[in-house]
Amino acid sequence: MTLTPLVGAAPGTRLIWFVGFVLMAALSLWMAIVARRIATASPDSQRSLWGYYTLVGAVGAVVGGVGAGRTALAEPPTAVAALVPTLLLGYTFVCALSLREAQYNAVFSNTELERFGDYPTRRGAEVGIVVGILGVGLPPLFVTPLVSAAVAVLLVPAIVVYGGYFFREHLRGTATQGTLVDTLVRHVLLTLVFLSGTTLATAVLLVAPDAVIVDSLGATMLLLGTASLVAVVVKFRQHAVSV
Amino acid sequence: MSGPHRTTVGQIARTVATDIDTTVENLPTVVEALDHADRTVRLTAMWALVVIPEFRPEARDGVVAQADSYAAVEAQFVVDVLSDNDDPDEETTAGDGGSVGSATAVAPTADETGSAATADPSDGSSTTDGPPTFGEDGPGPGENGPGPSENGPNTAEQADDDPRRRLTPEAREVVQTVVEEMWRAPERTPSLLRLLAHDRRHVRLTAMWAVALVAEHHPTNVDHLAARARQHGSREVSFLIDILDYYHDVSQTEATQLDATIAPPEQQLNRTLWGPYITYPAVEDRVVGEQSNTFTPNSTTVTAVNSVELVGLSHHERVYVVAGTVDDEYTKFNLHTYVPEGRYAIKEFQRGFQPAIDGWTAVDGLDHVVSVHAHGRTPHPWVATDYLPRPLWEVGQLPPRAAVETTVELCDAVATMHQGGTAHGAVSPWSVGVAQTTSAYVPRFTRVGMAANLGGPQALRIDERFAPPEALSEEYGSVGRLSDVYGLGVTLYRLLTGDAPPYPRDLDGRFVPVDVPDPSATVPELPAAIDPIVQTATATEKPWRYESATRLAQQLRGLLKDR
Repeated sequence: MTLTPLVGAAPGTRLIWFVGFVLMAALSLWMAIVARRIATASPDSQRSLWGYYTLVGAVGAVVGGVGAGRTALAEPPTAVAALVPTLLLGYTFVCALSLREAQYNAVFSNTELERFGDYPTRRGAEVGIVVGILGVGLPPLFVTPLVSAAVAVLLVPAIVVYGGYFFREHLRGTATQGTLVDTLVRHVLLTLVFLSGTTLATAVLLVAPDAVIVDSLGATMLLLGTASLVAVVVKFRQHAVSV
Repeated sequence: MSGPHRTTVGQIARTVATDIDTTVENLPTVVEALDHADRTVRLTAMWALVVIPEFRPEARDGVVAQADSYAAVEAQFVVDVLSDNDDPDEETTAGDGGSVGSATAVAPTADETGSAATADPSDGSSTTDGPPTFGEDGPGPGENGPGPSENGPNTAEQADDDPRRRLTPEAREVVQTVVEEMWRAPERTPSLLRLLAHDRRHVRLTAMWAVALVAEHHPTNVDHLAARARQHGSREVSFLIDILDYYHDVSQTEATQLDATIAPPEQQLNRTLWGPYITYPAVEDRVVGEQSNTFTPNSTTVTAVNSVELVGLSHHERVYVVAGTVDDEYTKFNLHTYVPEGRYAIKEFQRGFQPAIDGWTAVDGLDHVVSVHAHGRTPHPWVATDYLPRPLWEVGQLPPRAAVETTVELCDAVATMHQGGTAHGAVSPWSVGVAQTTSAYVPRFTRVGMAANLGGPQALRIDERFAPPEALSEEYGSVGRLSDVYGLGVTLYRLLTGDAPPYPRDLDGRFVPVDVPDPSATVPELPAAIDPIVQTATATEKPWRYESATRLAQQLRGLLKDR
């Protein structure tokens, strides 16, 4: 199979993809830095949560950077082409994990059980999965674009359901609205949903490069996802002032 | 009205402290309390039942028989304690036909009780010789308690005349502390522990009960309490340890380690463990002449005559009521003076005062913020404000709807403060004054921004039970707007329950974050829907706290709408 440009296939959308990925990289990098700073200044019971947000930011910065590089190149290297949907898959998974972590911290915080909010083994395993997902996408020698697309199409809905489940659990909690965590999980869920759409779009594009509508839809989803990230980063900045 | 368990604790304790005969007459009621749903009531009933036979030995068998029919562990403790007659120090008259032991045995032992005795305001002919007022089943705060006639004709006078008929002053003071001033019990814990070695058994039993109740309010301190109690070898200590272990699972290992590391009791007991407002400042207030009680402000707005009364005190702040003129009108006003001491340098204090007063004056036109009439920085910072007769603290418990509505008003005031760029920094029932009109309480914030700028809440008259975690430990971040949300949450808790959250420190003074109890757990009549709102407002971690006072107000308004 001959690989052709995967995103920006439709005329005129390449610039949108590029702007979207650049914004994603910049916002995510900022998010990672602020989250890391908050994690350092926060009590132990919160470090796990902010650690996950740091991971979300770090992975987002990588995805955004690679994506921007991919769309900037007229003839993208095959490796980068295959990398984008897989990286986005990893990113959505990290977003879902952060939703889970917010719920776990909410359940365990403010009680004697707050020490259980930090599960080194669990966290290590999950980070390992994310790294694995990213790693699978790296060498196109091991995974063909078709396999990569199939994996993304199969896993993205599961990841959205996973994150959505914990969001629902959050909503079912009493008096959870109006807190910082409430605002964060709402915006992270939006980011997860929109970038899942982007992931699916890039996966479809991987095997059907002339799908103009899908290409445009993916670019729109990317912009909407980065818009949600803006709200997350603003909240991070506000919170960082008080820690 | 307070929670029924508080009322019952007060009723039992007051009756035992003032009139043993009445307690004996109401013995079935006391015994029934062993089956009460609330543990503090059961513990109080237990205490009453083991103390009664100390004065009325003839009642012992009846008490044992009745208590034995109850399954509660407190009932078994009653049986065990009353079956334990091997006490070499026993001073009661078991078997002597109802008279009480020798005069020497019943004489107060002030030398044994240290501060507990010397600080006893109820000794002799003091005001507490009558039935002490407590809880909410008596009149409101600041009012006189019920007269002796409520407990029968002249019972108090009879009791005074016959020391064999009532508890010793030491024991009565413990009762008074527990019933009326539980918030001061932790600071008196050393005295309570020392009373475990008192030579009179009923005093030891009373101390045992009091320490058990302190443990109820400060569960994080149970191991420390147990370890320190073990240093006072008596049978009552064994019973106390059993009680603590039964309910709180006392860590034997830690207690053993503590036993090895804790300083001798004489070195521990002189410490003030809680409540910075207990210590009288060592530095003289030069704003108000303490000898002459005069205040001569360097102000064109405010003048004062020689009528100054100190009404509030803390490490760095004193509050006076002053008679004088404000804008040429003769009136009363409050004067706050801020006197730095210790590690706070005067220049540093004065530097922090300016932004604080700027923030306060920026919002003092609001309905719920006390107006600043004048202020100055020399010789110490001072602020003259509207007169407020008392803090919200003294209002105690309000009906649920009134409590929520009052808190909504406070939320709105705080939200407006925040919009104006000012955070109060130490919202609590102590920092809200109450101006009572003919129809309602009007809460008004005072000390706006002072805590955040003058050494933190610990420097001012801040009750640590109402202080947000970030005010007590840097680990939880800085004091700011979210701290005000926390303060509103604990103020709501206070208004709903008339109670205060547990102390956030262990016996060694280390900060220990505590959860504010559910209001409905303290006062079962309250709707459970209020619990998560209080919990969220008082979340230890800021990310799980309401992001703004407006959010809290929205939740509370929703609650009012639903009712």
